[in-house]
Amino acid sequence: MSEPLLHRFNLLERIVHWVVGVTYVALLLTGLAFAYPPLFWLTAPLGGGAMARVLHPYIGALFGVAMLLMLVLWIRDMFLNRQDVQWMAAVRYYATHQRDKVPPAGKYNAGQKLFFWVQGVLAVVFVATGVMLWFPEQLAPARTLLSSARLLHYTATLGGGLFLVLHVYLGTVAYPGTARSMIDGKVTRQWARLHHPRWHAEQTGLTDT
Amino acid sequence: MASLAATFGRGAMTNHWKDIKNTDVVLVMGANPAENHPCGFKWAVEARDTRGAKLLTIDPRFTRTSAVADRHMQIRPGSDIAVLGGLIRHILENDLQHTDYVAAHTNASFIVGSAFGFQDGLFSGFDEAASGYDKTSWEYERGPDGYVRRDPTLQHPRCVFQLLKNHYSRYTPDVVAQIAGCTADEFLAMAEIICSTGTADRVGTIMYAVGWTMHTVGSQIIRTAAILQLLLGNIGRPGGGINALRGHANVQGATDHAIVAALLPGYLKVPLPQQATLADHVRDSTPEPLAPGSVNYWANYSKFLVSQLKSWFGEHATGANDYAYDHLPKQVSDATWLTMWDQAHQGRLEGFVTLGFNPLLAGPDVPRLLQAMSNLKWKVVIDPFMLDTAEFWKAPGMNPAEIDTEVLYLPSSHWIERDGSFTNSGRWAQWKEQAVPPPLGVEPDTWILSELFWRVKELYQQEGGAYDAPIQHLTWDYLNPRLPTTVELAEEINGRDLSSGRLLSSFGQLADDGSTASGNWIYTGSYTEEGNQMARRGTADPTGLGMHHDWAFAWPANRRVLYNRASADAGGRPWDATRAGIAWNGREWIGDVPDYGRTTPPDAAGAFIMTAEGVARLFSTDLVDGPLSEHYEPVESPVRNPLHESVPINPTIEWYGGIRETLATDGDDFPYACTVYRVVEREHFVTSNVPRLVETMPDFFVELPEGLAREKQIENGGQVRVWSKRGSVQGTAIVTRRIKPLQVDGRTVWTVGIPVHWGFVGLTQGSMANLLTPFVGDANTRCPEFKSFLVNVERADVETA
Amino acid sequence: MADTLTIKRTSGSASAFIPMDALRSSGPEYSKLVDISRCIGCKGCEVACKEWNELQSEPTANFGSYQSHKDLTPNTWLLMRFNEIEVGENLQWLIKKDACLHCEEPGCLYACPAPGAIVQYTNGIVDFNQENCIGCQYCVTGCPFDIPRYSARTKTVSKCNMCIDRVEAGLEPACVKTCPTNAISWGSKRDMLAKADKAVETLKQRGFQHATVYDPSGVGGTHMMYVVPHGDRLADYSLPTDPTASPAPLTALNFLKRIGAYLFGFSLVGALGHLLAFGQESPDEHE
Repeated sequence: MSEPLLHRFNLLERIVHWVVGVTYVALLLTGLAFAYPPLFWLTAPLGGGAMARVLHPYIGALFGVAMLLMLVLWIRDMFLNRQDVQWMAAVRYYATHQRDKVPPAGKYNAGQKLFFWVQGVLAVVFVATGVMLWFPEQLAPARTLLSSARLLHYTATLGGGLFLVLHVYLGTVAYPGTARSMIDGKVTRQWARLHHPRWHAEQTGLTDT
Repeated sequence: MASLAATFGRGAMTNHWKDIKNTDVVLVMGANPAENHPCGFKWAVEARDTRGAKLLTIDPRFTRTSAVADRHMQIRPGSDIAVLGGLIRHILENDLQHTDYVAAHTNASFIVGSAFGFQDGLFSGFDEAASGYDKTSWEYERGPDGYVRRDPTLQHPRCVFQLLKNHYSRYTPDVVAQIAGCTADEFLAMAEIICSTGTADRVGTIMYAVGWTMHTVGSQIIRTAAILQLLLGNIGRPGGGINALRGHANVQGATDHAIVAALLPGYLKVPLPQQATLADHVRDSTPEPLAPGSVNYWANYSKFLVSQLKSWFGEHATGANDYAYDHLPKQVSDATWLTMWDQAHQGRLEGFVTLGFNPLLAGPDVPRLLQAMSNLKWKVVIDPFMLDTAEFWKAPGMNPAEIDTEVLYLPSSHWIERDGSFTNSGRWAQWKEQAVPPPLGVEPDTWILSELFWRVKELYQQEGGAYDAPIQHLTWDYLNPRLPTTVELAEEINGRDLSSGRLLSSFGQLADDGSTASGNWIYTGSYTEEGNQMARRGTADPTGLGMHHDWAFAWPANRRVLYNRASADAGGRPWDATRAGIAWNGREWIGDVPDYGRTTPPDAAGAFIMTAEGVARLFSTDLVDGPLSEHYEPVESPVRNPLHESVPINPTIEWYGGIRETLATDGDDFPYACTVYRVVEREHFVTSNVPRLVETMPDFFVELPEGLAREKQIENGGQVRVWSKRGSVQGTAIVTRRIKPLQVDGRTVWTVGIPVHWGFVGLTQGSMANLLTPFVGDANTRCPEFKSFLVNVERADVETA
Repeated sequence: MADTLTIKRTSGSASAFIPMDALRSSGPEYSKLVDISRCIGCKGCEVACKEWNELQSEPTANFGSYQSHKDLTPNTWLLMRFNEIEVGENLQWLIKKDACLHCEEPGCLYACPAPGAIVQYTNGIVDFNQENCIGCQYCVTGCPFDIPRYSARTKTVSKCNMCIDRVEAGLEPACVKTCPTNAISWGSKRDMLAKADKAVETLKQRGFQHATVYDPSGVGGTHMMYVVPHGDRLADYSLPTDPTASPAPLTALNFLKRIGAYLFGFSLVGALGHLLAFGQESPDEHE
């Protein structure tokens, strides 16, 4: 425990992550309010339905910009390789805490990379359909187009939302020690050895074996 | 209107709005009631849907009326007489007339003198130098009893029926097509429907408006229609008639109260200089009966006139002074508005007062009117709104520095802001209440005119002056002499028994001995001891024909259908029992208020009590341009007159100085026929002050056919310039398929249409349509020929601001 | 006869999709009937609509038509559309009153996420309550007739409300009141259907073989119906041939939303279950 901590994310990365994170949650909550009348009260923190309708697209725009930045920051670490495929094949052992059967991951495991790419693609869908729904009067009376945009926007919400639940669960409750990487940017060596052995090795020059 | 009087004896819509629901065929021609009379037009639609009536339009354009019509036929502007003449021929050639009706109720059997003739476009008696007719040769042949000779078999070659047949025989379907630009087949399809009503069980009506009157042959167009309807037996019958649609809420009322030059209220005549005494005037104005049994109601002329003089001059009108006959001005020359403008143009008119009228926009040849107005010393404009007429010096192209005319503008209250009556097209005088008070400081016309009267009278009292007696003696007997109420005026118009002071209930009570007073005999009965009859709102309809005798007051005598005696046969039996106007029950006439003695037996007198003949006139000598109608081209026409090239236009037109030079001639490049009209969103010019209505029809536009637009590279919604020899207008192009190219006399004629509602004062500005129109009018009424003239068009690339 | 307004459906509530028939009052179900064959295009209704509802006059410009505005606007709820077509050899000038049809199955209401922004009453009127409107314009997308219009200024959507205040007071809507040729009628849906059938019969007798009543079943019928003389040329009247309350993407969306609600729920339950089954995986235990 006296070993020095490893630097996992720099300040910029953390800020970008949290901009994305906060906007994502705000968008999800207001979006759910628009999709589910019983949740309409969720618009209250933003000042009610009308204000939520005004703010949602602006928050979305911020989300879009942050996502773009995130892409630039992280993309070179996110390309999938052969080891990632093996990792994916063993994901059930990962989920059931059978570490010995999980191929060692680098800085990001295949799940995280996948999460990155899925959210990246969904962000494009969110932004593209979101712009349409932001200014529907410019497209009216394109009823089918706009209805389809709504459908896609929601589908993206559903996909992205479910991934978010997973992301938050894994990052906080399931794997203690993870969350601090997005707070002070540091992780313990034990944490790194457990979750990202190859990255741990790169960082420390040590290997388990 | 002159022509309806010439034919039937009274110049008014024969039937009434709601009566149109009783018809089998509605011919809309020279009118566009869907646009200009939308509320009354409901009854035409009602007839179409509930009776299966055919609704037909004949017009230079496919209008909003055509949009709901069963059939539409496009004709060239100014070809109406050809079409109607063709219909008359169609009836007579195919024996489609209502023979019993024609025999009983028209002058078909009357024999015309042997001197009468028609050749090469001229009736007998034409005086080239005077551009007019000596009508002597048009007169009937008299028998030894002094009455006109008649041939009940209608076979005599000089009887009206045969003359008619002969005269209109030239209007074959091919000739109609050649002149009007429709096809012979189109015409025949129309003719078949229109001429289907010459039977006892069918009846048809005609709706017309200023689309007929505004021609140099306007009166004769209407005469032709009147002949047509008489032959079909459609006059006097519910569901029939010739319905002259009036453009504003109270045009009929204005006409009844002498808006027309040469008439006094109630269609009495303005005396002429040679009529030195009342007796002279009455003698000249009272016709003699021309047939036995003619009621000849105008024999009562003296009663109406003397009562009118008593109403005006009160105690100053006595038997000893001819009831102040001398106080009436004697008309030396024509005083119609074209003549007035001509006088102004010549610098011979000092000033004028205009009330509720925007003559600058309403008159023809605006450039000429502007010149005429600039010649005035003063001008008083009394209107609720500032008018183009008052601000004529602001018109485009005018230089105010060069104009010395002093203009006085007096804002007056709007009709919404006062009570009073409107007389609608169907002669119903309907009382209305004030809806809102006028703005502070705005006074009604009655106050303005009273002040004018009192101040002139006071000036006369102080300074004296030429012939002050008519002013000094004028009755002005109102509770507040500075502000007569409309009720006081209505009572005065109705009239009183001067001995008892009681209001009269019928013009039958009027006398020519000075014992009665009545401002306008046809309105006697409108405001009686029982109260204001015009304010009645009873909706009972015992006949089921929509006569509503307990609703308001219809002149004359609350009669709903004029000449209703003709709705029954010689024996008094209705032609159609399901649509009986009046019926003789052996003792009296029942149904409508009979246009006949209530207890006069059917065989005792003729049905048309206002004519000297006692019957309606198929042949009438009243008009100046012929006892029968003839097709003459508009003064500006794109084609020759194929009937008589040497007399192409109406030979009896009055030409004002310098006008011929303002008309397009063969050498000029004005190839397109143009007509002006109104649209439903606007009412003349006043609505340019109403935001909601400006919104619904914002801009001046020009309607032109697709092919012409293509040829001239004019785009729909783009700008187009239209010019005549007199002026030029520019507006948004509405390129439409509703105006088709016509084949007229072997060549293609394009028609262009222009609405009249724009001027340079109001919420939106636009070109004045009358910049284009010619300063020439109907030979009888001088109503200008707005409806047909020549123009050229081009694409206008520069948008006007 | 005054009418009490009973809410049948409101947007953003459970009742939006399942009409509460139990709430249906015994009052009449109204309908407007526009007999196009009697309409002369005078625009009296257009003006009456603006007057009664106090809608602003807008600056307009002639664009080569008798039509006043190119399209409906937040301040123009009723627009007369003009169209020239040829039927056989005959020119026809089609004039159609364009305004909300007040669908029995209102697509706008189904699409609206804001509780109470769109309300359907048992008498058939579908009304927009601007105070609850959030300006998302989903109703615009939801409407098969392209009627609601968004105002960028007020950030709300408006359309014809059938003069609901007049109807509540027992009066007919302003357009009906003003129509000079009785082209627009007002009454119970049943009476109006009977009247429409009669009008169609009359039209057929007049030779309009394809005359029809426009009361499309795809939206459950409408509370403004048309008598259409050329029923085979609906598009020329700018009337959709087969309108639906809910177009395919929206139907799919609604379906997906239900599934989505469960999935979101399951995901939370799943995470909890995982936690309970496997616990936290702390680096310490691997030391």
